[in-house]
Amino acid sequence: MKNFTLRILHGAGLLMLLEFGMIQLTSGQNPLNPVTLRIDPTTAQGGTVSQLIDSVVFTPLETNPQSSFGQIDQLEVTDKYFIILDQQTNSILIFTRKGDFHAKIELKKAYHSGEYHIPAFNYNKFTHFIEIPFSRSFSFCYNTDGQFVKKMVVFDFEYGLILGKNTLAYYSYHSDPRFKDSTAYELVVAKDSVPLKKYFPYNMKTATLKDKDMLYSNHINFYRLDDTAAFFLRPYDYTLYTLSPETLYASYQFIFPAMNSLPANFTTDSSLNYKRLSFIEENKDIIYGLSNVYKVGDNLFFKLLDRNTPGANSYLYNLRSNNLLCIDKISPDKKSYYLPITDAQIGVNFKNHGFLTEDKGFLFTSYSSQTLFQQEEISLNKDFKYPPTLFKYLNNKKNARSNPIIIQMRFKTDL
Amino acid sequence: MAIGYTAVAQTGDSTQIGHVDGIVRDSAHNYVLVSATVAVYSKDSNLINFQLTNTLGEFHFKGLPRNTPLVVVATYVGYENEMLHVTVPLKEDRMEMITLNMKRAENKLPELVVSYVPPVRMNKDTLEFNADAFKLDPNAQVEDLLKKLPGVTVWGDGTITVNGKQVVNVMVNGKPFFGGDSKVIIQNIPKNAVDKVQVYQQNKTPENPRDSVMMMNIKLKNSKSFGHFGKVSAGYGTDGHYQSVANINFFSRQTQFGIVGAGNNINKVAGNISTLLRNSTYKGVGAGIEYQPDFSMQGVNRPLEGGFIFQHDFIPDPDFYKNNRLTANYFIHNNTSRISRQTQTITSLGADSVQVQQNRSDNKQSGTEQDLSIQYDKHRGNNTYQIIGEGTANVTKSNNIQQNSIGNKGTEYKSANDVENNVLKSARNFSVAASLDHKKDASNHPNSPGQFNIKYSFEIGDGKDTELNRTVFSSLYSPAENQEINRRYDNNSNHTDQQLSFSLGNFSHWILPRWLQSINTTLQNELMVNTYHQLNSVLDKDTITNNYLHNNYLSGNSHYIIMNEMPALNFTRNIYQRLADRYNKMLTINFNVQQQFYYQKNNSSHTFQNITQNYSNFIPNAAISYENNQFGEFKDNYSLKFAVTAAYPTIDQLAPLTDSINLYYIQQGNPHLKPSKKKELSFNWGHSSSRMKNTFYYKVNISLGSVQNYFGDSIIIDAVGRRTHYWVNMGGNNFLKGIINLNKAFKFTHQELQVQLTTGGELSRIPSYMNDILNSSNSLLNYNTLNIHYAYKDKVAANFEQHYSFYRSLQNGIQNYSFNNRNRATMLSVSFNGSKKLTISSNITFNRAKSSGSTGANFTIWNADASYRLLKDNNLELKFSALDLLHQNTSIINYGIGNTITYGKTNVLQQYFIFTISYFPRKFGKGKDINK
Repeated sequence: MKNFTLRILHGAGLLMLLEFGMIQLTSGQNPLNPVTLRIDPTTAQGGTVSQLIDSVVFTPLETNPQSSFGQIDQLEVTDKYFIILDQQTNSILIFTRKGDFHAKIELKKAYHSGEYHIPAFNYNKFTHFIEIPFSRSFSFCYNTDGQFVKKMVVFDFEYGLILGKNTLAYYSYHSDPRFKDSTAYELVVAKDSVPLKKYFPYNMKTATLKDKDMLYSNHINFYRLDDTAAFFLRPYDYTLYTLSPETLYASYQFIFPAMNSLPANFTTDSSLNYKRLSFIEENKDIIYGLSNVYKVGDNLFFKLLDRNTPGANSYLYNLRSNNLLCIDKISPDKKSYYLPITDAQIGVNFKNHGFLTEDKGFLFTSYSSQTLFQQEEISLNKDFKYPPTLFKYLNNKKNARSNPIIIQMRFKTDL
Repeated sequence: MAIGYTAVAQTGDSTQIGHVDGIVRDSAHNYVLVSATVAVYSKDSNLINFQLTNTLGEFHFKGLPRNTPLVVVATYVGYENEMLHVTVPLKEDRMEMITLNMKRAENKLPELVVSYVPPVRMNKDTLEFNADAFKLDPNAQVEDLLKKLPGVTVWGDGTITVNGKQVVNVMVNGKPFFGGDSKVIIQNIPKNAVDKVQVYQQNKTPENPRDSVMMMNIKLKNSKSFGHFGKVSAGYGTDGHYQSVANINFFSRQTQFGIVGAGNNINKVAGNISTLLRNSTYKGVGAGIEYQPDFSMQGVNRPLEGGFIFQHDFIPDPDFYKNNRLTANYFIHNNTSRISRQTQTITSLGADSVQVQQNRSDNKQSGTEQDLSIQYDKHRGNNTYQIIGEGTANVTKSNNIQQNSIGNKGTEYKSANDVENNVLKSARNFSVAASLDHKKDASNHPNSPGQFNIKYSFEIGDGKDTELNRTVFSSLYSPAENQEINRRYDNNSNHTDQQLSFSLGNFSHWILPRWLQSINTTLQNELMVNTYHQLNSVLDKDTITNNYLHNNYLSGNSHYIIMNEMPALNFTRNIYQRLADRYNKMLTINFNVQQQFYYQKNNSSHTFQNITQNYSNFIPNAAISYENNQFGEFKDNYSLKFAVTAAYPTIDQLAPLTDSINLYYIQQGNPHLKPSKKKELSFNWGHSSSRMKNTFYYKVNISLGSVQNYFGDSIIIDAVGRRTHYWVNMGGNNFLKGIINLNKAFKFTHQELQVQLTTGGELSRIPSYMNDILNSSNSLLNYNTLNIHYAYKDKVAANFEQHYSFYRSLQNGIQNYSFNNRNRATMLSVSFNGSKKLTISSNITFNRAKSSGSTGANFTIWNADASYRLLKDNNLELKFSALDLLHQNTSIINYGIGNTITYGKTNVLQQYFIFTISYFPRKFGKGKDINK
């Protein structure tokens, strides 16, 4: 999987890592110095689809009573399938890459689990199973045909990023004065459920950054680089780390203009305790974190998190030319059939989720069919031709109840 | 908030066919600007049309004048305005695509950058219309502005809708304005004092974002946030008719104070301060359908009314999360009325057909009512506090002379009863109520039942009635039964009412198994304790000695206490179904398990009135409701409710002191009367279209019920027409009611058409005994109102209204006798603005009333008036009105209840002519506004 939403639940059981006493501590030193990236969002350029993008494909997803769903909260792309999590219908849907409905997993039906909501899932590239965490002690495994395979014991590790066969990385942070005076670690890499590496120790009772200071929206820690490596992000930290089973190092250090930056001592200044969320809310231009990080050749994609909701926040930085582009401002043209490549200007999908995943150089996003139909009207007087699939979709299936569409795009490399 | 927006042309003409197409770009950063506002102005800065750019950054204007210099202005938050001068050539209808290149306004506050004001913009979740962008007449009011705004409809009945959704509250600078009546706001505030009109949705409960209401805020320009407005008016006409009103209202950022007084002898009775303010607006006497003297009101009234309204906000910018406000209202109402009426009431009797009662009465009444209320509200964080104190004092004096006679249909009368009474009544009440509402902090205490609401109220009051009553009864057949009673009453009473109610919960996490915890459980309780103490002294005049003698039976004292305790456990379950960008559906199931304990005790100097009773009743209710919101299409609401309620016989029904002074109505008690229980099932259905153009919404309500142990009437009528009424428990009281309300608006460039239809009906079965024979009255009531409102610019407003109502009652038991009556009224009113100064309006109403046993009445009321405004700000109005030009006004009484039907006439206001001068003192802010 390319990214993974780690949802830390307030009041969930605590990870008492000290129980694994024999674990070797690794400091997470960087073998290389991180690359400094100076990013001023106000200077970001826009452009048209033709200027910036090599290829863009719109894939409508089949709508029938069985396959109907709300929006894409998590997307995994395999060679054959789109695997989609929709939290509204609490289901995982599998469509072929052409958009035909293939299978559906509804945990509720299979296990009578009542109100349980699927927070996220893992696609295991080694076993080709879809792993759905059910509690901190076990997951359910399904195959890509939607069939139940097995119930899998995952010990006490919550769920995390699959970083190799039997290797798992997970992030956990719980700090509250009511907790025991003990040391825990934010990031742990475990093999066969035994901690292998531990990073970022903190005292659960006395750490200055409290649970109630954590902003969990868009709190995604891992973005996969390949089968055994991933980008790793910490909350309120402008450093982009690279994680592999054995190592963790800082790859890029982001620097923003002062007016957009968190105070240097933001996580350690105890006078800010319990006030960090309101600080971020009141200083809407401050970037409080990074997310949706993908690297394709020299293009580094990322999203800047702030509370200025109507503002743009997804960017592309070319590491060779140092050009900064704003994804939200790319305007459609003939190459995209005058259809927007994201709904950044007209909807909420891209604002909330950014690029959903990356696969073989393509980035994926989605928006609603309703948005597609509305945009189609704008191009009525333009001279262009839709590809057959899209033409058929727009003409035959014009129905406001249709499923969202998936847009995949590959950016030019010489930007 | 999902407020869609598409461009709407403000002006259009088939001869104007010029097109201007273009794109708005930030070329320094190489992108197009989406949702930038592009407006086309004429050379003299008049707004012709505006749009927001599409996702390609493009705009496309049609229908622009050719060969005319135009200015195209693009505005975007954070950018400097960009403008281009263009002229569409006469020979072409289209120009080449133009590009407006915008530059960022570096280091400037976005608000300061804009010099050419964009007509509309989305500011986060708020849709904002900039008043300055809309060029209207200098004397235009907010109402004129709203009518220009795309998606906004101001309905003939005063309702405002935005994209089909009804605006629940109109605020000024975020606060209620002089009581919150939207008409007071939109017809008094000049358009030029307005900075922005903001439309947004406000969540009523933060935990349920869908429970939201549409709000409108009129944001005044900073320099116009204080001022005054009002009306001083006096008129005098033929037959001594006069009217006058004086109103002045002051406001600042935090304080509002208004004072009003009015007096007339033309049946304009307001009854409360908000009606007076509502009918003293600057705009109200313009092209709209004017507030008329009430020609249908019975009698002639001479009201003198007045009061003040005060509001102070301790925080200048209250919002949904914080509020700290003191309000006070005082109203005094004095009225002198005289009603002369003549009616005929037909009662269906046993086998010997019907009884006809003729009544002629002359009632003179004068009285004063005063009401002072003071309210303090505070809302901060999770707590809402409210304290309300209210005091009332009323004095009424009346003189009533009645002549009654009774006979069978077609025969002479059998008996007559003449009454003269003089009454002096006074009453005082004082009450105080305090409430606290606490919402729980769900993030800190997810499982505790921490949400609660508690309310306590206390009322104390006293009353004093003095009455002199002289009745002469004469029987045609047996003169021995003739009687004359001359009675004097001195009744004193005092009462206290206390009410304590609370609700606490959700308890689900404590009492329900995990799999049922999605059900919301609250504990509720309501306790009422009322006491009533009465001291009556009744004297009868001895016709021989002319001395007043004590009436031992009717005199005495009593102490009555009622305790009503209603504990309840309420279970609610919400089930949501959502599909992003497509629909939201919600099903709510609610059960209220409620028990009622009712205790009453009466201690009286008459032993037969010493009664103690205890009742316990299970009075559950349940409701199921469903909401279906299909985004961009429609929103439907359905609800089905079932409720059981109980009614308990009062001491006056169980063991009254029977006063036989009125022999045509002698009320006897029934100590064996049992409580009645009503079961009612009701269904509501509402639909509103979410489309921006041509708003459409409708509501349907149907209810069905039956009453067990209905308090029915058993009437014994003797040979000379004397009636004695007894309360009896009866079965078979059922009803079925329904009402449908349809509303549709069509908005064109210069014209607006609104159609509103209300139709309703009621079928009921009322059982009774008539001379010991069981009778049931099966009645059908049907009423319909169609209203069509048409407006052309500000020039013409026309209203057509058709009312039709029908009542039929069929007796079953004593005789299969049928009554029916019909009322029909057709009203047409037209108002025409000849110029900005002159308004001529006229309205005509054709009335027709017909009833069983009468020949029917047709009459037409035609009114006309002309008004002329003087001075620069149109502050002075001269008006001449001619009312009831045809001299036909008649007030018809026409109604039916059970096995009786009443038809008659009263004295009414008739033809007069009146000349009125009104002055509207107004000032918003100091001097000229810089933005003007």
